[in-house]
Amino acid sequence: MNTGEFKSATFEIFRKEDGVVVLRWKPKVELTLALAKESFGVFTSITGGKKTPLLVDATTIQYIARDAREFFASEAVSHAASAVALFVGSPLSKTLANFFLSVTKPRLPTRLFDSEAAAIKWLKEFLA
Amino acid sequence: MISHRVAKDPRLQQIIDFLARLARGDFEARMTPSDRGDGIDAIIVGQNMLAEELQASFEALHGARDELEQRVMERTADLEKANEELKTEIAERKQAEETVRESQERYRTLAESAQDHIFIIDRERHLQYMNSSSAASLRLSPKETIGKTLAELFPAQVAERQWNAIQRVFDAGKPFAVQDTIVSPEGARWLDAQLIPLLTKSGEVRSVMGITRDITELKQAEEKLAAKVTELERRNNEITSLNEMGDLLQTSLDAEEVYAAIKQSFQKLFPDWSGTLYMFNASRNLLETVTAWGEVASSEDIFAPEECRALRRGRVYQVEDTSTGVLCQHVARKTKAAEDDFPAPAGYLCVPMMAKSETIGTLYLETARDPEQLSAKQPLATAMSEQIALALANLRLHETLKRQSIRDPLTGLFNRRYMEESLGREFSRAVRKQHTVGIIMFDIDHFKNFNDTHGHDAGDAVLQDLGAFLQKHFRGEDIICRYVGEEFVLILPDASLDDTRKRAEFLREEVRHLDVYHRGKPLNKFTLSFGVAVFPDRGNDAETVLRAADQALYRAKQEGRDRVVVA
Repeated sequence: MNTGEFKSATFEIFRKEDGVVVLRWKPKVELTLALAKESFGVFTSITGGKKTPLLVDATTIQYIARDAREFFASEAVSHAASAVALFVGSPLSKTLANFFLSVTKPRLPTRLFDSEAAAIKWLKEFLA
Repeated sequence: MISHRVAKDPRLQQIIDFLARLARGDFEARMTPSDRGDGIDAIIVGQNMLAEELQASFEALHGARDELEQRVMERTADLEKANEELKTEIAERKQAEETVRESQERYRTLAESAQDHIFIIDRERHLQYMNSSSAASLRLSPKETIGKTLAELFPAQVAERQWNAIQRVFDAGKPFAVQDTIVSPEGARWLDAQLIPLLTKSGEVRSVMGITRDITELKQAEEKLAAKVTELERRNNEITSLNEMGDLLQTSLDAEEVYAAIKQSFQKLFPDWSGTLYMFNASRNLLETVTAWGEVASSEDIFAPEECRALRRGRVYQVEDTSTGVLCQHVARKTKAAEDDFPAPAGYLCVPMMAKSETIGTLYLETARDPEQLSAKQPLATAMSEQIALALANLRLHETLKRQSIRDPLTGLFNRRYMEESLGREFSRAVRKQHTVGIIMFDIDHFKNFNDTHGHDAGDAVLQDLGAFLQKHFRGEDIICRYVGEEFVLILPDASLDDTRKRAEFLREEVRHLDVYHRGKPLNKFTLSFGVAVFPDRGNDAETVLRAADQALYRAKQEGRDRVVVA
């Protein structure tokens, strides 16, 4: 059973029973700074400010704007999440995620996964 | 192959064009991916993101460059401004340093050319500076004095006194002036020192500067001036006292008053001195004491003129040390005779007194304690003796003139003028006291025949001897007058008629036995005839009473002479 669930036209977010929070972007979404901040606001409201591992389902994401990338790599995000697993699938999503990891360089533990289960497993290591 | 694939998928051409634009620096170039989402779209998206990063980096770089340029410009402007300020500051500092150097040079020249002794000393008593004048006085160069202590340059006591004064400036932080004496090979020197604190910026006394001036000559001049002033004051007092003595002498009526004035004046002007005033006796063969003052008089009361060296020399004789000096005999004899009773004076002065070319006496002054003052006091003693001599001579002259004006020169008796004055005075006194005044008028019987027989010289001898006889046998208050020729008048104050008659009888009887000699030969005896009258019984005025006495005398002559007739 999931808790703290939120859904919008562009993304949905919820906390799994094991404590991992999942952010799942809808297909063809071009991620802007506004969407990034919105999704982060929802995330922190679910976690109550407690550092929590986050799974981002970016398999269908179309694009991440530069300011949105920088926001996700900011100190504010690093204080709210304990680790981020980027679940990718298509070449496009892999390119986006790799670019984020290698160029934008997030400040908290971040890894790419093409298996959601593997990602969840890794994230559980960061549960308090 | 590539062109074939490009022709097959136009996105590749788009990528090639895009890369070409990036190569030209067009970082705003973007590509649009297709909906395929395949690898080429991923490349396109990746290239777009890369372009975004390049653009951001480029913009950031531009921004940084602009900011850097701005900062460089601002920094350059700051540096230029600082450089200008530094140049100005350096110029001002150079100017200040030059001013300070000139000032230092000026003060150094001033200090080095000053006659005053200038030094600077620190708290550890070490000299930091001493000018040439000061160093030269110590027979050192200024360099040799630096670092030395006062104790190394001056005797211990002097150095300690100097340091005590300097210490006061260190303690109080205020200037201090002090005068001191030091003994140098040239003698004692007076120094006037102005001690001035030299302060740090925080107001602490870092060192003390001393400016010392040799004021020995000034001090000596002051002392001389003070001595002169004292001497002038002393002389002024002496002159004042001399004038006072002159007034006293001028207003003295007789010798006793003169002597009292002399005694008083000498006791005032010669305190603690003793003295004696000697005058020649009538025969001028001895000098006799007429007045003396003080406790001890080591001179004879009477001595011969030749026993005084001042009289023999005719000028002042001074002995400052009686134990070694040659003494006058009138001093030597007295001190030798009485050496067990009192010591000889330490010194003495004999001042001959001259008046109208005649030596009239000598002034003797002795001191037991101040023989060194003899020379200083000699002018005063001489001046006083001259005044005294003049006063005494004037007094003698006055007495002589007075005597000549009221005395008969032959008999020494009062003359007729004095008799007339005396009658008026005595009658007035008798009226006040309700007394009587006896009048005896008498003359020598047959005096004309006596003159004719023995000559006028013999007659004068009779008159002289009669005058001496009368002065011998009558009271001091009785007034005996030669009235005219051989006629005499006796005025007897406070005498009754009976007393007057008895006195006349006594005189008549005594004269009968009087022996008179002329040129060694006895003359004949002579007798007197008397007329007696008493005021106020025989009249209220002199003329009436005299006339009554004259008439009684006439009757005595008529009745046979050698008798007394009462009016």
